[in-house]
Amino acid sequence: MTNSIEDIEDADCILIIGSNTFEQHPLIARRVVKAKDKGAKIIVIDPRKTMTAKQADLYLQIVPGTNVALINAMMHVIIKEGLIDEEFIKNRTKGFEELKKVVEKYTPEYASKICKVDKDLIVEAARVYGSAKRASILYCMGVTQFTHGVDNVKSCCNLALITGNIGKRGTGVNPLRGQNNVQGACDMGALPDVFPGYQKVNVAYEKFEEIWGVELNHEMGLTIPEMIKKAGKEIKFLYIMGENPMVSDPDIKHVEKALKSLDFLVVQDIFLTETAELADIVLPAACWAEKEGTFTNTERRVQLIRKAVNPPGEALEDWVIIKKLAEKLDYGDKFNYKSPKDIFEEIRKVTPQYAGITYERLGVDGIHWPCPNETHPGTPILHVEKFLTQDDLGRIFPIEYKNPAELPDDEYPFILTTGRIIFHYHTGTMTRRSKHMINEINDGFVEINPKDAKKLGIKNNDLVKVSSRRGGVAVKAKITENIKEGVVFMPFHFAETAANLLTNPAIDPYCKIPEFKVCAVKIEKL
Amino acid sequence: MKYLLVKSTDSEILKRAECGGAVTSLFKYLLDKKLVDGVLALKKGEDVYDGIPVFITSSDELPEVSGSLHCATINFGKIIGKYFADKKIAVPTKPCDAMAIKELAKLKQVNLDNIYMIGLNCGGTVSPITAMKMIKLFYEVNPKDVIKEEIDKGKFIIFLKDGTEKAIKIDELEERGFGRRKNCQRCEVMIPRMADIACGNWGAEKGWTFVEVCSEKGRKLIEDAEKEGYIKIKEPSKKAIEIREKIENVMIKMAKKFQKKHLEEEYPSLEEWQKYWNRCIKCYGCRDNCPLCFCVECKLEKDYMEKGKIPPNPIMFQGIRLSHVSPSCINCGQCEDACPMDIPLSYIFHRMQLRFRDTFGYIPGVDDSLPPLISELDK
Amino acid sequence: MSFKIVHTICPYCGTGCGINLVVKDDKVVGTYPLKRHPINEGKVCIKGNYCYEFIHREDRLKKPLIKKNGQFVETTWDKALSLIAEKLKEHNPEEIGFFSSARCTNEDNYILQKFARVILKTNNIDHCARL
Repeated sequence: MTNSIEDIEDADCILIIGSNTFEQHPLIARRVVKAKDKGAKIIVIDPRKTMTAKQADLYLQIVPGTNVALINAMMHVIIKEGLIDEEFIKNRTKGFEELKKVVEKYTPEYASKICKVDKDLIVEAARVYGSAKRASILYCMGVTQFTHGVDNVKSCCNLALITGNIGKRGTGVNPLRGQNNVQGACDMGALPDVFPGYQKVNVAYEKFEEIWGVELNHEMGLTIPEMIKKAGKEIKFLYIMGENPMVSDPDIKHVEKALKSLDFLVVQDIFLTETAELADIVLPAACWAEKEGTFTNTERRVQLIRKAVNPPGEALEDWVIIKKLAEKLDYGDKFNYKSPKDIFEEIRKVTPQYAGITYERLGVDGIHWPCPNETHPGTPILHVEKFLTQDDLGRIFPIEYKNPAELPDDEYPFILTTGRIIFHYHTGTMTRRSKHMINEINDGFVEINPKDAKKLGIKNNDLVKVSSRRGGVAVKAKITENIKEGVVFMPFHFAETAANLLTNPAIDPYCKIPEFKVCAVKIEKL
Repeated sequence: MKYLLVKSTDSEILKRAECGGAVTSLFKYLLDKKLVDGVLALKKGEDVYDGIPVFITSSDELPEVSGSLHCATINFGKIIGKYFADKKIAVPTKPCDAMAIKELAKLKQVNLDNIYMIGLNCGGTVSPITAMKMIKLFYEVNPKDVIKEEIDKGKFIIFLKDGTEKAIKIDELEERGFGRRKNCQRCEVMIPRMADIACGNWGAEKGWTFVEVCSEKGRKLIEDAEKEGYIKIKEPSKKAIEIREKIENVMIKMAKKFQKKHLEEEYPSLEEWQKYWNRCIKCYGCRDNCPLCFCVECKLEKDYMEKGKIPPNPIMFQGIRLSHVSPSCINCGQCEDACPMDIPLSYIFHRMQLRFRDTFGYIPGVDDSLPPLISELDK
Repeated sequence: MSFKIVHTICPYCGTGCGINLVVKDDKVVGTYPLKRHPINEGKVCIKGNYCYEFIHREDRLKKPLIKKNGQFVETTWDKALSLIAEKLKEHNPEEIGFFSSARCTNEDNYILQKFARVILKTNNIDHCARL
């Protein structure tokens, strides 16, 4: 997030796009509620009329995968009606004129045909966002999980930049991270192209060779989708720590084939997950309540976790397992840590954003990175005075609308979009072992619009088969007005009715994110 | 022997004591003489805004739990019912703690024979994050520079690490939407007479704790602790008793005013309630943090509630809770504190309880009788 | 009997709500609102409220497992780690990949990427940020 969770309260307009904030980030939704109670207008863009959409002043029920067209049309209106922030564009950005040319053709009428959203609603949304003193954009996987996910994010940034909604309280472009430490895992360089602190492997290798005292590989590594694709061929050994691709990744049938074709698979986890079942060796790990360390949340706040109890049996903290394995490989001297705090001290040495953070300083409040030195209070709001570019200017990138990789056709006439529900988390490894959560819901379902259901002769709770080019799933139908006609929705938590048997592994060429939010399916009554 | 002035005989305790150290000395006596398995109390965690419940079993640990924390908005009732029902304990109780424990005892969830309730007079508590915000905003100091806070003579006073102090009238803070929690503003029980003794500084001489003895157990505790040399006692003056009464009466009057304001003048309309219920995400926080919700098999988890759906049907969800809890509601505010959607739950529960009070005359946490039969409402 | 309340962070979404774990006799038996936390002020959703329920499940992994004839059998840490080390040595850097985890700590993620880069000389490390 460019901004903090707390300052969302100060927004006059909150544009929520591709995020069911009330179900997936309820304690961020609370700030939306507080802003609304103070008079802020809420705009929600989503193919599903979620609980979040129901709190909105303006709700735009979009066709999945058409965000760029819609945002371009909003910018078209904002520019035409003079709602841009000329000062800000002039002093702080670059690229506006090119954008202006591109969005010229995205009239509300034009976008309305692509997005299937009433043109007047598009105009109104543009006016509300464009005329707000402080407007905040909250987005989530409904923006990123597309083959044009990067384009979507850039579009959101464009919208904020041309209206000057960045660098102050109640504004910003705010991705809501879905996992407690996804921000931290990125910060730590658990990515194939960067070392800790987003230092490129092909640029910063000398620095890290010096710090770590070894020679390093300068070439960019492979992403998860790429490793899965190459498994059994170029990739022969996978070491998986706390991930469950057998439920979370697109096209599970292919994932299974890939993992089975490896020479050797190690899985380190807290339960025998669907992925661990396929492993040659399974290592028992401590869960979060059994260890010390830090998590970095969606607003870049680094926070301490504290050990409450010992791990069960012989289970060990993840870092201890890796340290022991390093010792086996005669690298004990490079992994000579006695505690997570020792590791953190090294992290802050090599990660400029974390340089000023210490365990002692964190306390219960945590610190927002960047925090360059020990007297720095941390940075809740980014880009206040300048952007992190060489000329300090924010880049505006004109973006053209592109179709998703797989569109409905006669054989597969529906768009399947996937997501989460409030009662479960990710692949369900933890929540499906929690009494109160499974008492609420423990089965998958597919949401179908009543008009579509009628055509297919499907009634509520009927068992239906949902199939795509990659596989089929038998699952209960949930007939609801909340889903757009022609679109169906499935949660991906449930391995028995795995939505990811159906999803398309096509990825964004830049950030390699799979297109979970659009694939073509057909539905048959069973 | 109803009103007493009590003072610790322990010089170490007196050094730290705010007004005579009676409470700490009584805990020390109970622990040393093994009359309890332990003391459940609050210790300062991260800072003055962070109160953490701890269970101490030796008087050596007492220094970490002495001193009041007005930002620790914890209710001990639930904690005792859930985790300490089979233990002999002593516990410092604000009125809402003592009322919860008393109510739970009537419902057979805790056994009063096993609990020494050392009551603490209370003028209200402040939510920690609210306190930090208001200190930054109105006191214009860094909340982290505060080493101690106090509520005295209608003021919220902070003591800073540079040795200075600042005070602002609570009235002024509350007019601007800060200050004490809303339920505390409405609370008319400042002296926990349902505890075994009620301690405080109202009417006390400097260096002494004013104690009202409220039960036979409380009387014996004081007498024995004095006999064993843990405390000294003397009689308060008539004037001291009058001062204390006067303070109490002023505060009750203020509370009634707030009741009128919150529960009548500003009470949300039906439309507003609908708006609130539409936000409910079914976290069960209101139920789980209510000290008086104790059913082992909760009706809210049964099949006639539509499962896995948010928002839940308010008539079912809050309706069931209201019918179960509101007659016994002690207005502790825990449900509202826990609500992730800031639904003003204690407004509706407190208001409903006051209606019950009008009809049945029943005052939960204060009366010795059982709550009026309410099971009919369930059907 | 021992009783303590431990401040920590919710294990689920990226909001990073503070929670208190209630620990009685070395078992986590509940959560308690952490009202001092700046993000959520003690308020949580249903997942945070009941996040302790999976911790002491019987089916937690308690010993290293090795697959023999398609079945898992328990083994010792020493044997498991020796075998992994041996197998790692048999492969070239570009043949090895690591999946790190957005549910593990910064320290866990840091050490795994360092392990991959320093010992195995590979940048084939990623996690589920995209999922």
